[in-house]
Amino acid sequence: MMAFAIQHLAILPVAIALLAAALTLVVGERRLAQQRAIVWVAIGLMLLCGALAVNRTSGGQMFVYLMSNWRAPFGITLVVDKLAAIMLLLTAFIGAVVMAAQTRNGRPAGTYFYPLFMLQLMGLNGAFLTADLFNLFVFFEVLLAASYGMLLQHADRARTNAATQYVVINLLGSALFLIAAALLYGVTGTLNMADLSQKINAVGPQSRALVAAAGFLLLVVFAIKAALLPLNFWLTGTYRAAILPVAALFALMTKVGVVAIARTLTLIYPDGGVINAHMSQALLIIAPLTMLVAACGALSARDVSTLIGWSVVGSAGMLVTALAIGELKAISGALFYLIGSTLATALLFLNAASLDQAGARVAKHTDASGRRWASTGALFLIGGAVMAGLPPFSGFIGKATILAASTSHPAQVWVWTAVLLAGLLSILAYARMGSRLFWKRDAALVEGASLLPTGVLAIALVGLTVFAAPLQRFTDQAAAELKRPQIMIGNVLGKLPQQKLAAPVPGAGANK
Amino acid sequence: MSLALLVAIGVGVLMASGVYLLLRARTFDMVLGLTLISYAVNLFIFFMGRLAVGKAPIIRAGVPENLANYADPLPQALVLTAIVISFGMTAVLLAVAVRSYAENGHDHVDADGGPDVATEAATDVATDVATEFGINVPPPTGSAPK
Repeated sequence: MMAFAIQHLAILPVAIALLAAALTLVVGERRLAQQRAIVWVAIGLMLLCGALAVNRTSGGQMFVYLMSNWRAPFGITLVVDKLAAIMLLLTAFIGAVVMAAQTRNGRPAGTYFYPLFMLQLMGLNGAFLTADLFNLFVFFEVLLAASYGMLLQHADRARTNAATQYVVINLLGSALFLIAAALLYGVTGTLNMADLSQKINAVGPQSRALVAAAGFLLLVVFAIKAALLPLNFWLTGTYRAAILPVAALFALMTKVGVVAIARTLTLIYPDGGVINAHMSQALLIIAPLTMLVAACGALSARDVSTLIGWSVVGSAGMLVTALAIGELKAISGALFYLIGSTLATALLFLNAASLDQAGARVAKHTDASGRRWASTGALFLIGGAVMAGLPPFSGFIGKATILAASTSHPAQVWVWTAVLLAGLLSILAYARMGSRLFWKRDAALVEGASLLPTGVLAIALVGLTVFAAPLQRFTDQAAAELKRPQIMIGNVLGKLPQQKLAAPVPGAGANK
Repeated sequence: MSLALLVAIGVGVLMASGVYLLLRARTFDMVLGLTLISYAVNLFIFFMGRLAVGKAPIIRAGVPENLANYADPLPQALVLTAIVISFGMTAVLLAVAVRSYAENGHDHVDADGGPDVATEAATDVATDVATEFGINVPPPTGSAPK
């Protein structure tokens, strides 16, 4: 069993989610208990896979999986490296929390919620695992298609309008992605990221411009997903319109873009190349600007969802800034910050789900409701502190690591100014929203909202601070692995297909 | 050379028309625009396997296996995937567009923007499609509820 799980570790998170999505469809909408059981089993298995991946990769292993036993670069290759392992575990964890939070009055949050939910997780897992550019496109489409369905749950006018814009910008992004992939294939004759990395280095001077154009097109596509500055306008509207458990799941969606940018900057166009230098320069202008604009947006937000949406944009800006700096410690800090900000986003969205801002109802002043107000407010405080980067939470540790790593960088002044100013503005924004919501009580508490999922997230966030040292050791290793793409290239291109099974001996095994 | 030029112009014209339609910010135009863009992209992928006339990607005995003798099969596989995905996504977009029209009473994407730009022709088409899908369309008042 264990041997099987390790041998197929790279495909299991995708296969489990796909199978669960199909099973929930077969069981049907009417049998909720069975659907729920299937999803819980699938999420449990995904958590196990994620834990196994983190455990095994921390020992220095890298799992390369050749689909259909075709040798790289001819077939599709999936890879579990440390970055993918972190993301797998994070995805499964967020999935579990959202799953615990999505029921209200015993009903799921929407129609076909469970199949869409599972397909979304499948797309996310696949996008983190794949080492093939075209396969990455396919997984993007899977997770986007599922997210369209999720976004349109309980569609009313606002949701439909948000969904229209979201679908259109992502379809345009897919078109650009295909152009970039086709360009790269046309020049290099490969789509495998590890192989691309080598072939791009060897490209002759007449094709350099094409390869650079393809790289920047890829960055544009991933910037749409990560919501970097000129391409971020879809995000706040979409997140505000989504029902809140779905918005919590969307916390992972921008991170897909960030991880894809990480792969672009470290593997496809690795450090040391001319194109990488140009990309880093461009991103170092855009990403800190994104942070500043996001902080201003957060300050101007009038409702919680918009505030959190802008914080998501800001955290993407922070992550991409760190990736563009490119120092080992900066990447390590970015990975640390990524975990914390994802958990905090999910916490904030799920916490906001227990607030009814539209209702002008006066909350009953009983002891029980007072305690619930206090706990809801405390959870908001924790989430806000992580997003704004206040000590002692993980947001601070991540930001401090990134700032420390940028001291020798020529753009240090600009990065420090942007990070610190954006942090200050975020604190103001969260303080103002918090005092409005919890002191002036501009909102009412939703009846019967469970504190369990948000509580688990808060404990996880505290755990990130308490266990910061071992976690940072792991992110350091992950960053070191990203900084040395030769490891990935050697592993992927050196992986030999399994020997064919020996032909069955005639006669043997004929009898049962 | 002339073939390559023709192909490049064709892809360029499709892409330009698609971008123009997309910028009109009306759902029906955007569906058409994205369709044209996906045509352009599909052709582009296909041509990235090099233009080959009269060559099949099927290996024949005795003919050396290189791109001088065969067409590249991989872009053909890629384009097939891309076609299927863009087809499915266009269907989703159509459903969303119809829904958006039913909700707003006009087909402007920026729903709080000017409904005055909704022309009668587009309104009629959208109403027909919406009725076809059994969606109740409010009478076109010419202004969106604020």
